[in-house]
Amino acid sequence: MLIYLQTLPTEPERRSFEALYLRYRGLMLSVARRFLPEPQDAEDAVHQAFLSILKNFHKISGIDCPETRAFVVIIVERKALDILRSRQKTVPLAEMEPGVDIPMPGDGSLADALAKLPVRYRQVLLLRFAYGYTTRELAKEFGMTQSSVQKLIWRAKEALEKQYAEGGAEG
Amino acid sequence: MKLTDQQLEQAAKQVINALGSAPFAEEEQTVSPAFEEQMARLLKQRKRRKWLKRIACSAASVLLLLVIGGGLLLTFDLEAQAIAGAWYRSVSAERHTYRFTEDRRGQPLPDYEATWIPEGYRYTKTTRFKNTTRVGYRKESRYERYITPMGFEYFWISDQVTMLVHVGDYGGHTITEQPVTVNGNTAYLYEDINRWNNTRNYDLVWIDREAGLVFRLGTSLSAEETIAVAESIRPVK
Repeated sequence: MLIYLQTLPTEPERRSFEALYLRYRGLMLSVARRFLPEPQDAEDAVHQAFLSILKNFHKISGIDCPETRAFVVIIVERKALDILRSRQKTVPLAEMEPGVDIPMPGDGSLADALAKLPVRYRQVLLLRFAYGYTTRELAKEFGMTQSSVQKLIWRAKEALEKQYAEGGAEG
Repeated sequence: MKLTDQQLEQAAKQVINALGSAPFAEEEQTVSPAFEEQMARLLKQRKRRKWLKRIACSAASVLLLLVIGGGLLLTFDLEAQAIAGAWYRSVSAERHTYRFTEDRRGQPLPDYEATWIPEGYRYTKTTRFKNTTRVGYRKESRYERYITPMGFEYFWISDQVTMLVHVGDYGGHTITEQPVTVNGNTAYLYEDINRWNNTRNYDLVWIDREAGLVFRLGTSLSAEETIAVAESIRPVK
């Protein structure tokens, strides 16, 4: 859609949003700059990420908690990779794109396998299963149709099952 | 093996906890001192200046536009100008942001209709959302089995709303803007060309300050017809 309206939440929520911004802008810029060396690109990713967070602000339970910190990292990572993709002349396979490193114990658990998934698969599964994104919300976030999102989730699950089986075999 | 949703939720939460406490090496990196100063000044100004307070408090995304990137504050100062007393806009290469300095909410939205629509179009329905009313029209071709929708929506001027318009190259579209007038009111016409199928659509935004309403009309007509439809929009008698 060319235009979207953004009705802002209540005054306490607005204050929370401002607190979130102040708390995480440095982190978000850091994450964005991992993918986007140009400061303006990184700031643009942060801006887009904040707009996305604003739309999904109801998914945030508190400002200073690991869930929110992880959430802002996932969203800004997504936006940064979108910008990176738009800047590159050749479009890499989404599955091949590197994401931020997640320190996991490496014990061959399902969580371990999930953390090692290609970034797009990892993002869609985390947003779906940790933050309760609906297919419709994911479609908006990823700029895809709902049926494409369903296919993406299916492929991500398949990759996770494979990764988990291989990890278990290694372990 | 097939994974259950419960297994996936559990694994996802473990990953979130790990990611949420991951030590990002550059986490201490912050924006420049000048940027911080701008932010502090902005917050102080919110207490002193009513209009700025309204904008900054009510539109968090506007706050972001102001504080992200040193140049954007300048952009706001130079380019965000009162358009018709009740709305402001800031312009960047990628988006236009409209904000409103009044709050005219308080009553249910009145019904509006387009008193002129191009031949072949017919009214379909009015959808009343909590804060917005949307009025739809469509043109159907029996032979081509092709439906061309058209519609307008409106809402009360409110400092609780931010309206963003993506411009430039966005998601396979090229969007450009030109100022026009609708019944003497300042308006902005956005031409949206879909580069994949080379179709062209228009979005027209304007406010009717007397009525206290913001309007947006979306069509695939010509620019002239789009403005003509907009100028024909009247309260339903």
